Amino acid sequence: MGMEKRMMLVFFPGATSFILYSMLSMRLERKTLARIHSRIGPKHAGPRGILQTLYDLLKVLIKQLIIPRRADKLAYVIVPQLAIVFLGVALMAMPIRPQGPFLEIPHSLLFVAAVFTAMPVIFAVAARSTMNKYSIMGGARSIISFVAFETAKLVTIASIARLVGSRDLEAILERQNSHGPLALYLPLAFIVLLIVTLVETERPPFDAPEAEPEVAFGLATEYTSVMLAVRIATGYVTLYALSSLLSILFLGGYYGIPIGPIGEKSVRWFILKLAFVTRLFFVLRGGLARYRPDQIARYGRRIAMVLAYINLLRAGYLVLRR
Amino acid sequence: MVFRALLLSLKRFFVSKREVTQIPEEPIERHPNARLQHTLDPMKCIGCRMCERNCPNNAITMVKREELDNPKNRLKIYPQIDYDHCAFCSICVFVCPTGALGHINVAPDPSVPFSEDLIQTPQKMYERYKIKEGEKV
Amino acid sequence: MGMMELGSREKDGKVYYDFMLNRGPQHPGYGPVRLIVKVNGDYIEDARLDPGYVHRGLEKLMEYRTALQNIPLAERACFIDSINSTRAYVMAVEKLVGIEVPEYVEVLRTLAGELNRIVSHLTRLGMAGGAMSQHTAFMRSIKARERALIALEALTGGRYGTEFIIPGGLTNDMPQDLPDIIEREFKKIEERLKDVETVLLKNRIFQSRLIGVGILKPEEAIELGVTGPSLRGSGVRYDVREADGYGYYKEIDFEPVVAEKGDIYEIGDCYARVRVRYQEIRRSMEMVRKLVKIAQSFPKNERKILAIPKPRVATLTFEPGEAYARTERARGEMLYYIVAKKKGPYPYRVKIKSPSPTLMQAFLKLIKGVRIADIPAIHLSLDECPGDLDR
Repeated sequence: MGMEKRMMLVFFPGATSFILYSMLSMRLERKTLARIHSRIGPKHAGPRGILQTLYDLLKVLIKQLIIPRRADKLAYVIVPQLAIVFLGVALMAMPIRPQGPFLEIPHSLLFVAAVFTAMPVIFAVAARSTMNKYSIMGGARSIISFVAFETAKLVTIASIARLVGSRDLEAILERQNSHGPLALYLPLAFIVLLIVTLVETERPPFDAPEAEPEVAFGLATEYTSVMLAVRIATGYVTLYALSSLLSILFLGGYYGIPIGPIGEKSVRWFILKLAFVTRLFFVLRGGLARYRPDQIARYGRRIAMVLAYINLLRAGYLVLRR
Repeated sequence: MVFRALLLSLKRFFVSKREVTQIPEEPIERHPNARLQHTLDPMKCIGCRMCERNCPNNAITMVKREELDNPKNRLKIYPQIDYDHCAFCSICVFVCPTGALGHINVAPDPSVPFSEDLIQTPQKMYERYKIKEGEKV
Repeated sequence: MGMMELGSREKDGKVYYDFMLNRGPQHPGYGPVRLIVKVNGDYIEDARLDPGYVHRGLEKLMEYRTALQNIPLAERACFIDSINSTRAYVMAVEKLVGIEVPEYVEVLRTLAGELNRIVSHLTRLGMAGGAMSQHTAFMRSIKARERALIALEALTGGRYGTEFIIPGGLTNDMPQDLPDIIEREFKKIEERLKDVETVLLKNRIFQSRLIGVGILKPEEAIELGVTGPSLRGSGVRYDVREADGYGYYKEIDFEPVVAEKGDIYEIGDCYARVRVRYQEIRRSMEMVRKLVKIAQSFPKNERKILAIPKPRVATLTFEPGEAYARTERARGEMLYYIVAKKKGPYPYRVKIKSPSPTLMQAFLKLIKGVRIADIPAIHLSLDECPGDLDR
């Protein structure tokens, strides 16, 4: 493995970037929400509160690790980490740097979609292994949410592949370089995948799996110490993976306008778009309330699926017009 | 509509007036009427024990203090309030016939190392009274 | 109390076990009340309540304290709306002893009572938003409530434990700058209320959680003894302030807020109740403004705040007899029944009837057959308080 590849694996988009992204975006979320609520958010931990999440992480890590007696020990410990591993694999297959992705896989779009489809299974196993009523309920709600939006997600991804004519993420980026960002051509697809991201990361309005008054903390009720850190990180790493996917599919990835030192094809454009998409999710959180699980299912089967099919028709129309 | 709510959050994101009082750097503005810590004017206290008898939580004890000399106070006893038991109901202030007990609008600081530090001796309350009178003048 | 028989059923050759969910006293987003729910899939089959975690024995404690010393106890029945609760107690004491308070005192008592009602309703609105993960509404309501608390502190001297109303009158007079304070704070409250309305009440997601859920029919409500905004949300026009005409309500032409047939909600569902509370905030603000003007119009020599001399308040003695008085608190009707058997400073028995027990009866009836996710919606729309429930 060359030095370049090693850098990618360890730093960006590798293990270090997971931790950095989780910590920075947690702080950014709290700051953004604070702005919407007219308050200040984390301020004292480090300059402008940047170290806040680090301190929270340290606090969580020094707590006692408790494994419930009735829980399946292996599943309890291994499965949440599996989620991050899967997401890491998906991220490795995405062309984030102009030099190409870490894993050169043909049909990378399909590969990434397949990895995301495995997520509900992981959550279900994690929830069941805890043997706690609230976790099981949270896990059941997770499965309902994920499965309800599967069709919409896959149809949208299929429509993108159809329009571009390839299932390769690099080919999609090439097309955006020549024709412009895909968000202009298939805006509905952008909106549908935005909603799907909200579901997959269990954010409002679809945060029924971790609804406090109903299921104490959903899946993470019994997790303490390191496992809790892993669980919370999973939420943000999913956001990382899906925001990256959204930036690549719709906003043009590492392609941009040449401005000064930043060339036309530079990883800094990607980071800019990633930050924009992430922040968008945090701002959306301010105005939304929580849906019931059955309402989530209805939303997925009706609204999201219908929008996805309309989008597919539009993609077909665009292909025919060529 | 959800969109109005989303637009509002977007607007607040860009145009945000922070309405926070950052304690302890900024002081909390309280009305002068606020009933918080007690003040004592020993020159007015006649040692009638009305405050001690009427306290619902038995938080007041009368202690003998020779140094706070008041000719009207025959037994030289003054009230001492234990903030561990005080409910801040201010009945003691209300029933005091001479108006010796009063209030100041500064909140008590419960973060003391020992619970004995919470006991408000007549001397402490006298100091507070001097601060309150100083502000008025 | 509280253990249900958990059995199993057999259906199509498979055995289904009953699933019992415990929303215990330490559940996030709840109060210290324990609710045991038997669940079938996502629907609730049976529910039992296990209260008593905040029981302080107020009624017994009151038997060993004088009338003045009982004021802090009467306030702590439910801390969030303490003034109207104390007012009921003080009205009962005054009836028993035979004191009549001057008009100025009634005006100020009503003023403080309405301010406290605003505080309580804002708290509930905020908690309803917080339970639905609508944290913007929560923060805004709390900030608006902060403004009302500042106004209350200016008038009474305290935010929660106000100690303003005592047998015989009041502890202190209205300060000079009260009208300016109220105008200033109310302007800020109105700004934030508008925000809360956009983000919470007009939010389609919030509406979809509350509309059509937990419908309480008017006959059921009356039979269960529900009072307050929950009753008026079912369309029954009953408000103790109107029915009894105590205090200064008749003189300012008080009109209760009753839910009417709406275009998006049904009468008696959760949304109607929340909306009644929201409109009550507005109406209370109007009333406070009117009352401040009336209080200012009293000439200086008529501003008596105590009907009996101060030393007599502390040594108030009860003659044998009994009396009761009731007021409309933010949650419902509060009634104090005081019995004195022999001449002395202590009452023989004080019975407190608070609105929450009947609200919980309605709650237990309403949550049968709904989904688990509807429990917080119904609970917060009924506005019960654990301190009230246990006393």
